[in-house]
Amino acid sequence: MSLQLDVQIQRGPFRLHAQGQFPTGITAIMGVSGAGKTSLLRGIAGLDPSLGPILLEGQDLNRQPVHRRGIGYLSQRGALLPHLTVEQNLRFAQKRGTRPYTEAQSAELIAELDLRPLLARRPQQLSGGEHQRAALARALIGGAQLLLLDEPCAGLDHQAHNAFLSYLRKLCSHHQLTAVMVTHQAWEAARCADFAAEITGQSPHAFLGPVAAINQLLCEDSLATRRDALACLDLPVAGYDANDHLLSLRCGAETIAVPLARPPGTDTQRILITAQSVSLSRAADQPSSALNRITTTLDALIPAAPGEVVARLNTAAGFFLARLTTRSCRTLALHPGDTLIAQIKATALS
Amino acid sequence: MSSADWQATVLTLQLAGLSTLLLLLLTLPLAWYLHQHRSRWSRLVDGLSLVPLILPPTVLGYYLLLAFHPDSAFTRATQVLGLPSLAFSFSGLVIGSMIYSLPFALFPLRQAFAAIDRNVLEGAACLGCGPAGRFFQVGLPLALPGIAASASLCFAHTLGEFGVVLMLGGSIPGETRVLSIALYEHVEAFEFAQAHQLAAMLAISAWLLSLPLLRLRRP
Repeated sequence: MSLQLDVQIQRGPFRLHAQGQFPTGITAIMGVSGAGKTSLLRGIAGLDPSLGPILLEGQDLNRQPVHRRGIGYLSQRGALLPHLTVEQNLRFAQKRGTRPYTEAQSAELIAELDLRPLLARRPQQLSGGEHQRAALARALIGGAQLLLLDEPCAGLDHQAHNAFLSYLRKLCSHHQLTAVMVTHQAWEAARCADFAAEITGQSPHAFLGPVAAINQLLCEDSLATRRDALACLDLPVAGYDANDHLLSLRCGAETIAVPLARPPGTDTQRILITAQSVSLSRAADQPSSALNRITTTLDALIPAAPGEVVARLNTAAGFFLARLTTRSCRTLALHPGDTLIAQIKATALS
Repeated sequence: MSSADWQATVLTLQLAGLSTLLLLLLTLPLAWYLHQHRSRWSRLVDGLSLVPLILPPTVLGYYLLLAFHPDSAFTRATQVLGLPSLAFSFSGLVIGSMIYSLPFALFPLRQAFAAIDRNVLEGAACLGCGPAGRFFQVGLPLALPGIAASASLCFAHTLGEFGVVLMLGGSIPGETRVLSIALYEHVEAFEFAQAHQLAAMLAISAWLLSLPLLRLRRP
């Protein structure tokens, strides 16, 4: 199910025009702090007023008050009702949902999110990650097909953060959900999103750009020049070396090796390549400890900071980035269109 | 204790109980409304609700007495509606007490509602909980300690009410002669044994009523 919107959101001097179609899957909304990411989600949910159509399954949500929209909404703190246990919170949502889960479906959801040991606890007795997991179940149990997530992992430690994103991905693909997630971290978007859009421009005229495949946006100039810039590639699995714990992924005619403790359960794997972990050379035969040497074409050089540029590299599997000094750029005499060998340390991949 | 004092005790409990109950019924939705809608109008209501706190009780009683005067516009309006005269009556005292105790009922409730995490209420709304549901199923349960505080403050405040009662009700046994008036009359008549009894009773009940307030200080 897809969400289509063309809305104006105004709050004081701030104005945002958001236009786009969000397909089934997870879409990350990126943008600097204060760009209006949260305002957009609140507008879609009906928590703040917005003007214009918000179409979900052909129905205009903007004609409905917040409690009739049937949207799953997850804020930074999941906001479970503090006077109820996790189980009672789930029942609360199930009772009021538009298409509530059956008992069997609820049991499955609880199992999927590993919530069974937490059911009798009150929100005060949960860790941050557990709280968000319970809140995720609560957002879905009423039958919401659209899930809005406002930086759901803010304040979680790295492990809990990763775990939450895994749960989110699993649920979204299993239940065919349309999820819109606000994030300001590129790696978070790269880790779990299928699509991305960026809020560009400054208030009073911010604009939500078109929804595109996630990697395409990550490699666009505005995000590629950020210090945490990275790319994500979905690559087919070629094999697994159990002795060296190395996973081989197919990238065109070449392979990319990634350390992985156990053999993967899926046919394709997503890898995140940070711009900082890639170096470039002209020839492939120089000895190096970097396992991965991929033949690429230089697509563009983007000035990133004084003395630093980002090289956008094209491969058969898509773009990725390399952050270089302008001096090495000059030494190698780089020009768009050049064929280059990108060296990526396998241990820098995840 | 004399039967007149027992009568005063029962009357005082009735007055305090009824005022507290009616005041809670009035201030719960009012406090919720003020919490949900912040506007110039709500600030005006907040300001007005403070007036009984600052106004001397005798002044408040005096104005109410004027309002309840048989020739006043207010009394004529109530007579059109078929209501009995309010001056020197128990009903008049209830109305006086409610106005007098309004800030004591409203403020703990305002505090309790303001302490509810906005995310919790918005989360409930997104789950399909309408405005009434948010009041009854989220606001009220989460404000319970505040409601207890509001009720006990209100009850205690009405127990010791003197100035308003004296102005508005006088001392009609069984109708307007409450404990504080009875205590005053015992002292006037040098009946210190009876005065001691009534004073101790009021002091002990004040201490008992302060217990629900302690719950508020828990995090």
